[in-house]
Amino acid sequence: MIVDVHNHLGEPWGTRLHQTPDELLVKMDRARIDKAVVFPFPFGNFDNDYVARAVRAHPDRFIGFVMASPFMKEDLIDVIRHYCTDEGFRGVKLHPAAHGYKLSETGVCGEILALCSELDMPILVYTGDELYATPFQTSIAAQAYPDVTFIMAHSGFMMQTNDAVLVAQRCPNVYLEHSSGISLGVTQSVNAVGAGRVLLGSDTPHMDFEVELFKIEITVPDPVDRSLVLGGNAARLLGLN
Amino acid sequence: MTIVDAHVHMGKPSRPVFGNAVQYTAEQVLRKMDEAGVDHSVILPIPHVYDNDYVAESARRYPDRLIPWAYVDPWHHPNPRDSFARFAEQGFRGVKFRAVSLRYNLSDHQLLDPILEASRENNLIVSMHTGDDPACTPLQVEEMARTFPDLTILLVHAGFRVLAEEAILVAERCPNIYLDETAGTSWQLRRALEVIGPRRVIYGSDSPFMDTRVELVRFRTAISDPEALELAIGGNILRVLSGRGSEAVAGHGVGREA
Repeated sequence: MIVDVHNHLGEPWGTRLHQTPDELLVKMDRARIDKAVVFPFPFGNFDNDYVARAVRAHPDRFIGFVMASPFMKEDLIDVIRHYCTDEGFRGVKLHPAAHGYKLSETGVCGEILALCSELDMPILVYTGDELYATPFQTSIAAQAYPDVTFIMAHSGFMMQTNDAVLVAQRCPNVYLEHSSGISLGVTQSVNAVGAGRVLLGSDTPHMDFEVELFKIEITVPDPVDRSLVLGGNAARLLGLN
Repeated sequence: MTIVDAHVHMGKPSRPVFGNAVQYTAEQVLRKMDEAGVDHSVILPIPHVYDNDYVAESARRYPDRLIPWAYVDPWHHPNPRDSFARFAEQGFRGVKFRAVSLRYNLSDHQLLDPILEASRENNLIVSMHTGDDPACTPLQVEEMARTFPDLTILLVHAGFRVLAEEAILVAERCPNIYLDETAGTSWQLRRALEVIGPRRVIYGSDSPFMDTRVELVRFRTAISDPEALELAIGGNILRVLSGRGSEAVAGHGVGREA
């Protein structure tokens, strides 16, 4: 089973970025992706309901993550709880750089992290070459909430890859996802923390599945390791059959 | 279809770079190129190691395959007229600037203008690392492109994802800016083609950090029109290297004309 843990769905106004459920399904079928973790684009007008409708229509293909920001209205906690319990979402997506906070500011985002701990929801968090999204900031949250799984989206992209791997080595609850990151980073991650904590992510529509699949194919030659990266780990984390 | 990888780092680092002790000799580069079906590669030193002589020497051994580019530390070129003439004599075809590592801004006229003038005089193409720091944004490249309108500038990484739209905007406004899409996303590559067309979009892999084949898959998946693909993965950089302007015919070979 191939599971891709990073895909955006939505047709937000104010940006050229969009991806409908049907567009994503066509891409998944073309690349033989069985299941995709889906969540909104990170812009301020993010629409979790759009994603919920897609998940309801295609429960066998889509796994919902709820996009959340600490600066949502006072119903933040109710919103996350609603999607995770009523809509069957399986995790939370955080984008500190887009929403103006840092994951190290647990005074700001601690409420979300505590709820993820209570609901046993993994967090996919954007990391990259940005001051509001460094891997070290993730390590502060990961150490404060050791029973929450943090998946570092992009694994620090390019220049922060090394830090992402370092953080994963120190924090057993941190997983690495390398969408649009450097190929060498996948090798580095598997060598440092083992294939059991590395996940396939494509960040569609930013990247094509074919590119990320090929990257895993050549950087993870061992078939057992590769099947973990391509789906085994995600199935375990997300409770998929 | 001639395939040119416009961005390959090579050399022997004195110590690990980005946590990886990458050694990449000319022979290793060539093996990787053959495996991926790449005809020619632009080679530049491993970042931070600045061993330009090693690159020049490697290109001299494989003049049909390798196109040498030098790394420039602007703080060490008090007399760029002389030092850049020397780059040209060594066979270098371009120079790369990585402002984020060396603490200057790409908009720094006082520091860079004499150096860019020397690049222009010596027919050296300039490449600007962009997109991951306020020191090297596409708008700063535009400042440079307007100051030197007849200097060919490769905007490397096309602003990465964060400044992708800004990179496309400045390419739209400045005909002397080319988008070197090395290590960018599939989406920004498609968007660039939509806005500025196929003649100023360039394939590069950032090998050995990125994989040559992975980056080719990215281009081949994103570009369905065969003519546009041919330009992006080779034709454009060859035309730029020929120095024959935007409508010149590509595919003339890669060496400096005798």
